[in-house]
Amino acid sequence: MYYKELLRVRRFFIVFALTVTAIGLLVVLFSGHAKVSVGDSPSPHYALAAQHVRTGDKQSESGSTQVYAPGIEISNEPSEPLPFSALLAIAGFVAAIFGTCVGTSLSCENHGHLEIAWTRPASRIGYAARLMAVDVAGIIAIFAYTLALCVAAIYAAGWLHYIVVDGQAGVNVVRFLLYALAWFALVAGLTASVRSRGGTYVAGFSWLVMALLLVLMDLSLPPALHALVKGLNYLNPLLYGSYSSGAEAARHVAQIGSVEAMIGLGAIIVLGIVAALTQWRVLEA
Amino acid sequence: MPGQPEAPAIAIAALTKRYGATTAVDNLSISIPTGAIFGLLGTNGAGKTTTFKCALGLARPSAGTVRFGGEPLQPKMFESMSYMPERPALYDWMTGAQHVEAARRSFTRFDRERARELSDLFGLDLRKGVGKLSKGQQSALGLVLAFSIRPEILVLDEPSSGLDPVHQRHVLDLMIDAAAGGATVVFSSHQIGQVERAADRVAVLHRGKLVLEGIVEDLKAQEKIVEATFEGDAPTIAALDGNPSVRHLMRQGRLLRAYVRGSGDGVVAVIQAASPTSVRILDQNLEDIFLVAVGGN
Repeated sequence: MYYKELLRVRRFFIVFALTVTAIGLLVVLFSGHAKVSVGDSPSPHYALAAQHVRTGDKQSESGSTQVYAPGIEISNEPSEPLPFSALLAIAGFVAAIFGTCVGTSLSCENHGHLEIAWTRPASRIGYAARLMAVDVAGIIAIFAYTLALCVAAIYAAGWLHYIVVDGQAGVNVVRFLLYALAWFALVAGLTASVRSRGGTYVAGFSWLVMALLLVLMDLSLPPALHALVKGLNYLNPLLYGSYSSGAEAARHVAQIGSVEAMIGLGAIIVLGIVAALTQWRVLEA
Repeated sequence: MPGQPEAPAIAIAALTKRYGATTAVDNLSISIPTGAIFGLLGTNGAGKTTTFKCALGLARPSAGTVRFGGEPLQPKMFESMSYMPERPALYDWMTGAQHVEAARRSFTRFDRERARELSDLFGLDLRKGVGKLSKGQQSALGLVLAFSIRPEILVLDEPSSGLDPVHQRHVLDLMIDAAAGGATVVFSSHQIGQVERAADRVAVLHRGKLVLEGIVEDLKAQEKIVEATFEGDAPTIAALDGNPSVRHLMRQGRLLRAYVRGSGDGVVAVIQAASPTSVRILDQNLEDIFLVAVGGN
């Protein structure tokens, strides 16, 4: 019964996996172009300069450093430990884009396929639930794949020991998975009854609109409008998905803790799926 | 189908479907017995597809009921019911073989060997993606899927659409074969010759209303054409205008044609009084009956 749904998600998965793998390969290939340090002060410049004045190499267990002139070194080693949560954030981001794409699955059925979808020996809700269950499995799979690929890329670059499993890692596994699922549910809820290619456009613009909503929240607006924007932002996955490992964390991250973020994301998931199923139930071919 | 054995395979009662101010189907009642081949005729926009959609739960009727074997439609009934929409509704990104496999996994009665036979019959290459198939090939694939379930009820909306004459004949043969095996076949078509060849019962819809229904042979026996020629232009015969057995009158130059219900003898007598050069009574074919019914002669 899941055959067609699996074929559909597999198509998306292959495209995403190939794209993410290509990006991972590029990262590994260019990981040799690392930081230039002058004296003890790290510089943001990258190592295309001084190619012709290399005077020696230093090898450490974590990577290699080329010495070009007294006081000038080019290193491919990270300057600080890499929290595992950062990798989870990357995986969550990729899975969220994947979720945005597969979130239009009900809308795609509505694009001329309802006659075949609804004349199977299964209830409408059962059919939709099956479709979404396979989508969710696909999101989890791409999340795991991206995470594994990040680790593999870091290993290939020789930085594996820089990864530290931070205290938030366990919570962030759930949080960033929920983040991806929230995007899926949001798009599903917005597009379930949208015919034609409209669902794809809604999905495409959803990130832009959500980013705009987040920006609007920081502007000084009339109180009523600000309250509206603030209310809408509770249904904005971007509000709950920001991640920063630096000392100066993003403001929204500082405002919303992991637990609150997971509650918010969970609410978006429930609302989105309920909205999608409600539309699906009353739809006509 | 589950339910009382004496109940008709499909019973549509007072079905109405409105889209805003437009009434697509207006108070339609049809009863289709088990094992019948039922042709639904009508001009474009007559309400045939809407009737099918309402019957199969794809659209919600504004009023009325549809029962299958005496019971309201339930999802499990699709185990033994096939629907082929006018536009096959297939997935462009899947191959024919993948559609067959998806259907095999969805319907317990699906007969894979039958699917292979029918694919060969229609000359289908199941390895091809649906997006690369012609409209006719897509229709053929839709038919392969519909018939391979070995359904007890088949609902086919324009099943010959896009098919060449050879494959159109195959479709008719498949419908007749399915009915001979006890299945009930309901189909719509603009090709009235095909309907006449395959259907034992027909209904004609016009602007959402049922304007004619019955057994094809009975309808043909009940309906005659009285054709008269005159030396000059065919005259206006007042007695024909109010005659209740005359369904339609056509004058064209010296020719007068009256489409009548019944034997036509009374109408012949009236026309004879106008001194025609010749008068004859012709049997109507289904196309004549249809055209008169929809006022499109």
